[in-house]
Amino acid sequence: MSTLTLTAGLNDAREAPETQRPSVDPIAGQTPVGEMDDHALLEATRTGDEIAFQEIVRRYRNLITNFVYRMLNDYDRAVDLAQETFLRVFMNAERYQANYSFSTYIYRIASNLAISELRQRKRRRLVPIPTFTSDKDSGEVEIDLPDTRQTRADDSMIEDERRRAVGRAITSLPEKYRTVVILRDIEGKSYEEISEVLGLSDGTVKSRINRARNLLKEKLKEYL
Amino acid sequence: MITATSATSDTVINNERREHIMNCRETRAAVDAASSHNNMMSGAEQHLASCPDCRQYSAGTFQLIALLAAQPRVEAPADFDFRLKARIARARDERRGWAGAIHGFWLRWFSWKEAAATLAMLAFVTVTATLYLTRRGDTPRSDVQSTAAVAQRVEVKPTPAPPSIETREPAIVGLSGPEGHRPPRGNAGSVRPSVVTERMMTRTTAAPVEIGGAQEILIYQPGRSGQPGLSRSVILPRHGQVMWGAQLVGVQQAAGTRPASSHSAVETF
Repeated sequence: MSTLTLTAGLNDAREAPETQRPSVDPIAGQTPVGEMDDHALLEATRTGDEIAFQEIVRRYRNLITNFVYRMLNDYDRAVDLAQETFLRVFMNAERYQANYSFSTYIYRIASNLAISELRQRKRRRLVPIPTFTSDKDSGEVEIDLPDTRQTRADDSMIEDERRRAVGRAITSLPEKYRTVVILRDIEGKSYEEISEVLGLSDGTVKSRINRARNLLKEKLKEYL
Repeated sequence: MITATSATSDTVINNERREHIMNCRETRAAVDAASSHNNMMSGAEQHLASCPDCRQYSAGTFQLIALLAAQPRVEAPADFDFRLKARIARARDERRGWAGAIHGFWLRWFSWKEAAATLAMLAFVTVTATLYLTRRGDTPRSDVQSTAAVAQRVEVKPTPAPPSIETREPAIVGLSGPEGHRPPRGNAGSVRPSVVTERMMTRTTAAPVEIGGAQEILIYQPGRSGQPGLSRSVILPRHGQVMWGAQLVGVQQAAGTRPASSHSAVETF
């Protein structure tokens, strides 16, 4: 019952698999939502068409989740922030102005949320935490690392290790370099799109991408 | 002739080097802009064929791009839509309440630019008012504050048991005449009170100067033989009470007398 209450007013399509999702507006004479562009979908959302909003969510949920995950390297928080992104799109649909593409708009919201989260984490990290060392005087953290000679025997393990290393390298980048390199090399955005998402000039974006790649080359030189 | 030839060849080499550097720069920019080897411009390809440094740079960049692109993409969980709908419903409920009204007001009327401009204006007004009030020297003060200020100026030091006002009034006369009351003297320094004629007294005390509610009266002291005459200032509060025991700092030279070498003596009387 509570589920029905929560979803009241929205088209209850969650039970249907993605392939069976209604892609055509039942009202005759209207363009199917699957064929509408993003601006039209948001315009329809503004007028209360929740099917149109579902189509927006369907198009962008994986992209935004992946982007935020790459920014934070934390899946649960990434899903949470991706939902927050869509919530803001929905609640502020009336204020949306189609100056840029919708993709730019939603990525800007997501990147702002991710950057805020990173800054909060950075502040929290300043609080001293107890170290898990056996020798308190040494101040060194003892971590049991896997034996690399054994793991490299397995190709899949090597591949996993490489992916983890790339993820760690991305996470270790400063926030301003991390954002641009993810948008460029993982999300495949153009320089113009990145500069619109981040509100930076093209020159700044190119410079940051170059710097970020050089840093990553240093960190990942054993994998290159 | 030989020198000219070598200079010409150096210029050619430098030009080639400069052109090579420019080509390297352009090629690296093209490599950065391209997402793969397939998107490279033909001019950049030609340069890469002849420049090992740029070739190495290009290979490293494209390997890195491939490594990043090969990162597995995560997907939203299966219950993503359901949870999102729940959040939207919750947010709608909140918006309908008081918080929602405030939120709506905020969204409709609040502007970061206007808020920043207002804050800047407030800060400017506050700073200006603070500076104005701080720097205004003639701020009205109470009598107590005025007396305190004057006392601070002449560095008044308390002395034991000053006589009453009635006995002090003629003290000035005593100071200026041999038959009057002569106050006790401490460190006389270079100034010694001596007989002041009635004419001098009249002249010097005729025009008292207001100092923050008190009066400064110059008392003329004729010098010894061969020494210049000096005047001393006595601070009288508004009601005419003589401040006995005051240390007079900065003994001034009386008008019309010869200048003395030093008149910074401290006199206690």
